[in-house]
Amino acid sequence: MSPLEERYRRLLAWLPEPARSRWADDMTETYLQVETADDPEYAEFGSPSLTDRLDVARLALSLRLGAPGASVRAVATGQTVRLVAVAGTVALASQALLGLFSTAWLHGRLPFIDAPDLGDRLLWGPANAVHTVVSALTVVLAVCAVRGLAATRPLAVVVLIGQLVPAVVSVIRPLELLFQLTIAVPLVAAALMPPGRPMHRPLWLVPIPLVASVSLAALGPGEPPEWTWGLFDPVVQWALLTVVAGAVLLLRRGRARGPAELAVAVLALATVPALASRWPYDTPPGYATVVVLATLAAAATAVATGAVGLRALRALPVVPADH
Amino acid sequence: MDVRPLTEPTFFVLAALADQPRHGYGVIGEVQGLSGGRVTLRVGTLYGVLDRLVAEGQVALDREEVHAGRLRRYFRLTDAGRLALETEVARQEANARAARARLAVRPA
Repeated sequence: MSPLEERYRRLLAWLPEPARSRWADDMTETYLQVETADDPEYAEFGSPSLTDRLDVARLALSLRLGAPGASVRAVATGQTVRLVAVAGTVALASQALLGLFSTAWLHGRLPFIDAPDLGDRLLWGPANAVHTVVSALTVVLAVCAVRGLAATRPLAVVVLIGQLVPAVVSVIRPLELLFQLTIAVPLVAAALMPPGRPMHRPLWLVPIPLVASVSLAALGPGEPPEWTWGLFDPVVQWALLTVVAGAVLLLRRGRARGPAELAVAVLALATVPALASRWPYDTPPGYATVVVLATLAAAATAVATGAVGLRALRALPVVPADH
Repeated sequence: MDVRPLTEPTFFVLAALADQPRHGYGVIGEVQGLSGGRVTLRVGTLYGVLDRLVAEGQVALDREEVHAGRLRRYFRLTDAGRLALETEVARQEANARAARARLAVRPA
């Protein structure tokens, strides 16, 4: 075996089983032919190019997320990523829709509803325009994720950049970036999400926009009690949703465990940085208490569902899912 | 059967295997020739596509040979693969005919 062949075999060790056993020999042979390994000097001193490394890394990642030919365990991991992407982007899209609704209302674009008289205080600049476009794209992203379309991945990258770049540029306190960490989790999952079939009757998603819509109550006449203000915070809403979803999953019996529990664990854990960024706020009274309680509940949910989900995933065999 | 249009790499891999079984390097060279040098498949991309096509039953392992002490696998198109390729070719021909008919009408 030439040194070059050894280097390619080491590179192909990145591939997960069972694909590695199935393809490594054949891929090594093909790489050596493509790279003209007949040249003895190249066979001695050559090594896989950066493009080769990126190519194998991309294949290894897609196989670990359940691409055709992957193991049963990898398929379950891919399902977890898809659930995180779908539930997370639907949550972000629900908030984005509320934001678009508020913007339309403030600018008097809603039929039958009068705009508030804000005089010169209603500002509109490039940052608002970018935010509005990103909000609209977030709604489209959620639809693509639910439908399992290939457009989900590039769109997720665009939304991720549209969310993170303006936030990083304009942030005043580093603590505020913790919120961006939370929203990055479902967007990264959507960017990695393997394309698949549309979700079949995804009724379990309905509570997400429903819970988000309680924020509309804050727009109604009369102020809600101060202790409820924490419940209008979308991050608190997301945390409480993961707690309820985790409880439902852990209490149900007779169904296979794994991806759903792990997805809830990831989403619950994802809310913790954004919740932590709200701990310093002490007004209105009771707000901080609600946020801290939500943080503890989300962390406990992440631990409980994560342990159950991981155990179920590890019990799956590393055999091809196609067989 | 999946009726979505084939991606370009998938289309050319199926086309490369249409006349005879080929091994990985043979497929890469054939795809380059068929596309007039426009499409150069990376090895990882090729095996990702082959993995999917084998799982979908459109490509099958034809035989294995040992070459310079290393295993070389030859792949062949199955009936399902041939049908998928013919369907895609018919779709692209119909699109091309429609576009050509429009191009024939010169604006006044």
